[in-house]
Amino acid sequence: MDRYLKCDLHMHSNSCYSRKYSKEDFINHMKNVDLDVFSITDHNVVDVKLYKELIKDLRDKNIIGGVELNLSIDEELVKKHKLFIKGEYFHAVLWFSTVDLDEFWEQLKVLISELKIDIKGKTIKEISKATEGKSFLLSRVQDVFKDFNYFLTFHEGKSSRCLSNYLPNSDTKSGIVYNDNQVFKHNLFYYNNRLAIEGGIKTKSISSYFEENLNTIVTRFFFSDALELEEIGKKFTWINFDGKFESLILPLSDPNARVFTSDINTENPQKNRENYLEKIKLYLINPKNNLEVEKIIEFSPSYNGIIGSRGSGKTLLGSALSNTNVSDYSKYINNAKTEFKIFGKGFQKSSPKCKYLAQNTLLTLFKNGEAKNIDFIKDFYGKLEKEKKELTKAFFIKAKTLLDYEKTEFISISTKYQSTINDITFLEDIVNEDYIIPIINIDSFQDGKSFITNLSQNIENIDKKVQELEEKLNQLKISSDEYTELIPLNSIVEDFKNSIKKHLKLIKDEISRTRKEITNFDNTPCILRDKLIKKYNNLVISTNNLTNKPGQAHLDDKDYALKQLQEYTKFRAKTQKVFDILSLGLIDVKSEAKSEEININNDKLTISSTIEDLKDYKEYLQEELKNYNDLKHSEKMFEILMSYNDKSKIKDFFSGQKYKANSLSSSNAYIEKFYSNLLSSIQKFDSFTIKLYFNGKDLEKYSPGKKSEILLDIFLDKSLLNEQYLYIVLDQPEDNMDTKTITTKLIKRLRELKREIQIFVISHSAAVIINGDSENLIYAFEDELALSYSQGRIIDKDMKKNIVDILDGGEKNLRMRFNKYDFKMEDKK
Amino acid sequence: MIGVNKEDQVVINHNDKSYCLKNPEEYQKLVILITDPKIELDGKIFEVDKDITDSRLKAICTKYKEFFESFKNSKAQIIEQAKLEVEQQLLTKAD
Repeated sequence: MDRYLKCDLHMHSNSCYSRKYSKEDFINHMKNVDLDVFSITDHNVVDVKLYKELIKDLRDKNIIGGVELNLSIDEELVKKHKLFIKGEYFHAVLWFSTVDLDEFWEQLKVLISELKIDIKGKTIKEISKATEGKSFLLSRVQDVFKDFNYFLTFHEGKSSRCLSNYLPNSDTKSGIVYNDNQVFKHNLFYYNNRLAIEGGIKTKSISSYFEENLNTIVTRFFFSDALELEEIGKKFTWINFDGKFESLILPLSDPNARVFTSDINTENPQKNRENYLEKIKLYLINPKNNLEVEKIIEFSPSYNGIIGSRGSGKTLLGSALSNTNVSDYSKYINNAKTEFKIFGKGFQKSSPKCKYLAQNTLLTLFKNGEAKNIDFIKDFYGKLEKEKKELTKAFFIKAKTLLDYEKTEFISISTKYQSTINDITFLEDIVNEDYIIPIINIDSFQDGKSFITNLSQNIENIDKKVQELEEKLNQLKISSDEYTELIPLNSIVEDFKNSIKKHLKLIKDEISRTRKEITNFDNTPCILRDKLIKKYNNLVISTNNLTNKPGQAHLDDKDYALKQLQEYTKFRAKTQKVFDILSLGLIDVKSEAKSEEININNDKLTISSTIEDLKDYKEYLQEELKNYNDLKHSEKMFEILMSYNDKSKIKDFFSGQKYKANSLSSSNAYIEKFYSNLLSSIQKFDSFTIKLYFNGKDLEKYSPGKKSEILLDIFLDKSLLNEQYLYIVLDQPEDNMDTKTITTKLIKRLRELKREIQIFVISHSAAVIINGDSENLIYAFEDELALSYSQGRIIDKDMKKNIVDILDGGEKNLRMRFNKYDFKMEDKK
Repeated sequence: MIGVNKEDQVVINHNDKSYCLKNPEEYQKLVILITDPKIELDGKIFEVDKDITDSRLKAICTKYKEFFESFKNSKAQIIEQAKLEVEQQLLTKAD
């Protein structure tokens, strides 16, 4: 299984003329050094004997054959490509398999002899020394080793002997740009996935050209190339492979995913390497004979691709891993016996906590409202929905209070005036008003009583505002502990809250005190005045009755008629006020509660909570009342009031469907039903709906492809790393996505996540598997009706065949990854 | 404006409509108009038509004017009081 290994693929042994340490010291150091893989790359020689000794003694380390060659470019090529050469030669490290040690050294000796160096009787170190100042032609090296599998790495960015010193891009002094040199180097690297350069992130003469102009990358390795033994092991490269020479094609063909230099990454890039699902034990049933077969599958802590033709059991494995819908496959698996082995532990029955995205569910996930449970959204949405629920609950209480009140008012006034309007033509009567003493209108009499009422009202309003302020203050959030830089802000917020709370308490105490004082205020003068006016009016009326009864009766009639008009006005004003409060309240409840803008990969996401099935208040009224027009609300209510005494008339105001005349025995029954229906309609709604806005646009308005892309971004956001899932299972996440989205979003995200958390991806897309750089491939297949699984890597012969046969674009993607001129279905010997 | 029709019955003319106070249906319509909390009654609605020369009719119209003016003058306060009572209900329940 591939994993990140600590590698130093360029160091010199005691056999190199350039190093002074002894063989014994070198071997002892290499035995103890903290490296998983190394290669001895002496100057122009290969000490086969030393190699074999090390291979025998250092069984816990992987050793790759290597040599550092002095290379120069043939004069013919220099002329042909109009190259500008500076210096004699450059250094290149060449790696080969230790299987080829003897044969390689034999061929290298041929090259050395061509340099007119007599090697007879010379030690390896002496031969190495003899090559100093001499160089092999690049084309000759390529020719001699054409039947070998090898990789070539150039010194680059060093002070001397680097490729770009020999073939400079430009002259910094004169400013001359050597375009032909750049083109030559470009051609050298562009068509060969087996070339790399030495250096960390800063050595970029070649790589920057590729990254900036060609949007591709050249592999950079970091080596010790140590002069002293103590330096070996201090500079290294994390390479994700199995430590074998043959697998080097994997990191070289995808360095961004597999190669990390120790100047940037001192720690192992695979963060979850001690926290992942190592194995699963399945009991697969052969439907032919019902026999169970135990199958153990091993996993990489990184990206595990699951491939296979349709119906081969890919989704079964995904279901077993996530322990979701496994009963759908009871014909093929005895899931009760499935066992999971987490790294460092034994097999266990319980399935680890994981995140599962079933096939074709990304879009339905959103439609079904399950998006609320996506880790990224959960916290934001939970808060919004809680606030919305509280607002809705408060509104329902308000609605009940107001509708009960309006109903009581309706019945009270209809009882009082019997749904009539007084005829006022009596005003035309000629009435002798002599001796009639006018009474005092107590309602319009202005004294301290109205001032006290207004004062009390104002105090109540202030009290209400203080309560609102307190609620807002309680909502002020302390920052999450996760952002350490914000921690000092917590005490600022806390101090602010405490200080304001103290002030608010003082105000509340003051309100309470003032309220008591007003209650206890001696308003005896007002009470006495009221009593006096009443007494006076009674006396006046009785006097008037004695002196001019018809005149007083006329005045009484006039008062009564006026009062009636005033009370009808009051009734209508109250119904209008209730209508206004409930209309506005419903707008508020219905309106979307939106989160702040949240950044996702430079895009803005807003989450909202809404109650979609709530209507406008007027719509609820329209459902109850015939020909209802909200602009004439109080008029309609007044007309109903005027018909209260006549059941045959009142029924015409209500919707026949809801108000069956035979079940409503009285006008009062209609009114009771009206208010009861209204309240229950308002309170009836299904649920809170989540809405997402991406860059200000409703997610529903995007195309299915774009929607999938956005949802995937959200689904795979880094917040899921906070949820302590052991792994993520994605079943064909590429569905509905176009090629660009698969590449720029899905694959990019998988490549980022796989170093943080274990991933299982079921896919038909070669791009997702190969460009996503799946370290471990599980191939699902049918074996005589039973389902089975095999596993391997994308460079393994059988797996390459499966990729080509099964995956969309399999061959094309393999060719692109492993060099278009060097792709072979058969493994090269 | 308060005026009289051809039958010398008192009518209230408002917005090209005429409401005869002797006609119960028309009077109800007038009540619907003047008790509407959303309508502010303008100053002229209860003015007596100056063209009425008959002193008896003029006196009758004046009586109506006084009656309706009393109502008009109290309307705004009544509406405010009604609104306050509704709000008071909410506060009482909230307590």
